[in-house]
Amino acid sequence: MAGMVEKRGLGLWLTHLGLILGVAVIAFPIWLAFIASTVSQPEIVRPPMPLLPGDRFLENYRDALYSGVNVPVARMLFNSFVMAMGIALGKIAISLLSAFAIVYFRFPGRLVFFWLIFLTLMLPVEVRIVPTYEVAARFGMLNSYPGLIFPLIASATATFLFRQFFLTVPDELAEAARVDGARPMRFFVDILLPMSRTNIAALFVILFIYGWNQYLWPLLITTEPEMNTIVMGIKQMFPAGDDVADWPVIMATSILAMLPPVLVVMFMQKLFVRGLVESEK
Amino acid sequence: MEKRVTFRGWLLPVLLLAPQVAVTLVFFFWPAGQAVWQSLFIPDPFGLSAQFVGLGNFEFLLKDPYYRASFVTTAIFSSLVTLISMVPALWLAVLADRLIKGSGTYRSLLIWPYAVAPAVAGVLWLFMFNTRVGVIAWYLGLLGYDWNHVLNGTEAMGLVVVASSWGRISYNFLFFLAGLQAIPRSVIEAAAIDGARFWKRFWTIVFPLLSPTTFFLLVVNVVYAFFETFGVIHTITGGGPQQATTTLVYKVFADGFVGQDLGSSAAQSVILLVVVGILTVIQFRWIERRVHY
Amino acid sequence: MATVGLTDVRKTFGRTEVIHGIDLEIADGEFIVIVGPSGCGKSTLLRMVAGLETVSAGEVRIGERRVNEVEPMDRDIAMVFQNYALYPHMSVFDNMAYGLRIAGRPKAEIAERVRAAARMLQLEEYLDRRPRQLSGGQRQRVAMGRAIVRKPAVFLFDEPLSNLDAKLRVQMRLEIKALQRELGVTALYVTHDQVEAMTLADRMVVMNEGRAEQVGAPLEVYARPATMFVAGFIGSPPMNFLAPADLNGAAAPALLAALPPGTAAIGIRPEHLELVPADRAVLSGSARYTEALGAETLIHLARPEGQTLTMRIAGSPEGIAPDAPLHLAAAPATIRAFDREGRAIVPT
Repeated sequence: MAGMVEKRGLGLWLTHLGLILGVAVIAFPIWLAFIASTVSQPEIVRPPMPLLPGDRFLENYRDALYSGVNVPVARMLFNSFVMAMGIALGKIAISLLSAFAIVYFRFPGRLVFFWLIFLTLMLPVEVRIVPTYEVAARFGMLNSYPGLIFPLIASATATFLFRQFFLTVPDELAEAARVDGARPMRFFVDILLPMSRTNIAALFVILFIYGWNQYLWPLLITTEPEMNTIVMGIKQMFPAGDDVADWPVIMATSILAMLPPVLVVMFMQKLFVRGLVESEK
Repeated sequence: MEKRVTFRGWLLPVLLLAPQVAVTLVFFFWPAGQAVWQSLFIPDPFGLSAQFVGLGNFEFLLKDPYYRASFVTTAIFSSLVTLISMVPALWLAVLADRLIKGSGTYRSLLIWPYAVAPAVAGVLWLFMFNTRVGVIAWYLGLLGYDWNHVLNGTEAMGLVVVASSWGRISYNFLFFLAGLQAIPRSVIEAAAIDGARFWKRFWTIVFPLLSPTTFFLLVVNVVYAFFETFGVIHTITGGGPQQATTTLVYKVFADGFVGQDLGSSAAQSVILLVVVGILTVIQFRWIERRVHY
Repeated sequence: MATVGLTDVRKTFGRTEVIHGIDLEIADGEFIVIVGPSGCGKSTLLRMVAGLETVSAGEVRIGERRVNEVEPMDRDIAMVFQNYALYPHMSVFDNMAYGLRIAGRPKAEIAERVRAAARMLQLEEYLDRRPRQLSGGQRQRVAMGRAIVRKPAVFLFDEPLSNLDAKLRVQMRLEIKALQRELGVTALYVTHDQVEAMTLADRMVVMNEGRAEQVGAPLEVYARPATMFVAGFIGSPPMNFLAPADLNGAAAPALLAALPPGTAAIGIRPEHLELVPADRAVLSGSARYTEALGAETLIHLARPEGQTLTMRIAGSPEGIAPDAPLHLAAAPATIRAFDREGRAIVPT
C-alpha cells in the first residue's frame, strides 16, 4: 500500500519511527548479550549492568574460546560446524539422489518408496526422541558425529523440495539429453545438478541453520563435554545449585553460538529467503 | 504430476534410493515402530522385562492430572506464542510495506534473529530476567514489582512465551511482507480512489487478501510452538516451577529420560504423533485450497 | 544417408490405442512432413521414430535396421524440439558439443564440427553465450546446430517453428529447407501448420485421429484430397462442402448428372468458384462481407439455405455490392466428390 497512495511527510516519519522501534526492541536482547560479553563479572552481578560496551572484549572471548567452562568453546564450535555441515550436505546428497530416482524412473515399488520417504514429513524428531536414542545407542553412536548427524537426516523435506523442482524441468531437456546419448547418471550430473544450483544453495542455507541450532538431540546423544555442540553446551556452562554463573564467558559463548547462522542469513539473504519460502511451500 | 520421459531399469533407481531409504528405516520407522510397541508395555523397574498392558498406558495418561495439565499448558503456550509472534510481525510488515524505499533495509535488520537458536534465545532472555543479575528484573524491582520466574509459574510462562516468540517475529515478518507485496497495487489504489482511508483499506482489502499467508503462518507457528521450543523451556525453566511450563514435548523428554518411564513416554510420543498428523492434515488442506486460488 | 520405414506402427497408452497402424516408406534424402490437428498423434509417431516412446506394435526401421528396441542415441538420428530444449546452463558451444563429448570424440574434432555448424548457421559470434541471451530465432538455430553436428542419418523436427513470430517462421522455414538440401539428410518434420507442410515437404502425411489419411506430394494432396478431412485441413480458406441437393442453379441438373454415383458431398475450392450469369449458375448466394487482401479478395457468401461459402477472386472486389445476389459456378473437373464415409470418389 505504498506508492502513490501514501507518502505524506508525517506519515512517512511515523512509519520509520515505528520500524526503528521494532528493530530496537528486536535487537535489544542481543545488544545486551554483547555488552555482557565485554564487561567483567563484577560489573554484571551488581545490577544494573552497563548498557555500553566495556573493555574486556578480548579477554572474555579468549577465555571462552580457549578454556570455556567444561570444554573450550572452540571445540564446541568445531563440533557444531561438523554437525551442521554433515546434516546440510548429507541431507542434500541423499535427497538429490532419491528425488532423481522418484521423478525420472518408473520401476516396480516406486510408490512404496515414495510413501516410505514422504511419511517422514509428518513426524519431527522431537516426537520419537526416546526410541531414536535407543537405536543410536544400539549402533554405538553416542558421543559420535554420525550419531549427531544421521537421525536428523531422516526427513524428506529436502527430497520433497527437489522433487518439486525436478518436476518443473521441461521434459524435452531429458529427451534432448537422451538423443545426445546421455545415460541417466550423465544426465543427472551434467544437466540436472547444474540446473539445481540455486535450489541446492538455498536449501544449504536453511539446513545449515537447522543443523547448527539443534538442541534436544545433541543434549541426549553427547554426554562427554568433548562432543558438546555450542548451542547445547551453553546450558551446561551454568553451575548447578546456587553458584553464580560466569556471565561474561557465557554471553561471549552465546554471541559465538549465534554468529555463524546469523552471518549465513545476512550474507546469503536472497538465498535464505528463497530457501525459506520454497521449503514451506 | 508425472514426467513424460523416464529412464528404464530398476536397479539404478533402487540404488539411488538406498541411502535415504536406509536412513529412513533405521532412524525413522524403527524408532517410530518402537514408540508404538513400547507404548503397549510397562517395563519393570530394572528394565529386564516388560508387561503387556494394551492401552493401559494411554488410559493412565489420559487420567493423569499432570498429563492433562501439560495439555492445557501446551495449548496456552502455543496460542500465546502464535499470537505474540504474529501480531508484531504483521504490524512491522505493514509499516515496511508502506515504504517505497528502504523496506529491504528494514528486512535485513529484522530477519536475522530467525537464525538465533531457540536455546540461545532462551539464554538471552534468561539473562535479562535473571532474578539476581537481570537488567529488566532489576528495573521491575525499582518499579516495585518483584520478578521471580523461578518461583512464579505465571511469570515463568510469560518468559518462555516471549523468548519463544522473539526470533519467530522475524520469520513471520518475512512471510507477511512477501504476502503484502504480492497484493496487486491496483487493488489498493482502487480502494483509495473509492475513498477508503488507510486502516479502512487495511481491514477491508489487505487483511482479507492476506488471509492465505495468515492461515499458513498460524499452522506453522503452532507446529513451531509445539515442537521446536524445547530449547527455550529447557534453558529457562526446565519445565518448572511445579511443571508450570511443561509442554507435551518437554514431558516426553522429562518422563523418558529424566523419569525413565519408557512406557508412558512412548505412549506420549504416540499421542503427539496423532496431534502432528492432525496438524499436517490441516496444513495439506490449506495447500490444497491455495492451489485453487 | 538412410531410408526410414514404418510398418503397421501402433501406439497404445494403457488400453487406448492412439496410433492405429501407420505404414510409410521414406526414401533416402526425402523431406517428409507429418501434418495434422493437435492430438492427431503426429508427435507421438515422431517420438517413436526417435526412440523416446516405445513402439507398441509394428516395426520402425532406419536404414535397413529394425530399431524398435534401440536407444535414441544409437539410432543415428538428431531431433529439434518445439521449445528447443537447450541446456540453459551451457554455452551455445557446449550445447552443440554435448552429444559429441558423450560419444567421446577428440577435442579437436568436436571444435571443428561445432565451428562448421556454427558457420553454416551464422552463429559463430554467439558460441560463448547462454541460451537465455539469444533471441528466439538464434535459439532455433542453436537447436538446429546441435542436430547438425551429430551428422545424423535422419533429422527429426517436432514443430520447430511454432514458438517463432510469423516473419521469422517464414525465414527459418526457408533455411531449414536449404539446409536439408545441402546436407542431403532424410528429414521427418511434424507440424500443425499446413503452409509449412506445403512448402517444405517432398511428400506429406496428413494425419487425423491416429491414422494417415493421405500420403503424397503437396500439390497432389491439395488437388486430389483423399478424404473430406484432408480436403478441409489442407488449403486456406478451406474447401467448401455442399450436399448435391444444395446445387439448385439453372445449370445444376447437368452438373449433378455428371457426378459419380454414390456422391454424398461435393467439395469446391474457393478459387474454383467463379461469378457467372444466372443461366449458367449452379449455386447462388449473397456477399456477406469481403476481405480485400490486395492481390486477391475473399468473398464470404451466405446462401438462402443457410450455409456459408468462401470464394477467392483475383484483384479487388469492385462491383460486388453487399447483399447483392451472386450466381456461381465451377468447372466440373475442379469439383471433388465424396462418398458417405467422406472418402473421395475417384472419377473413372
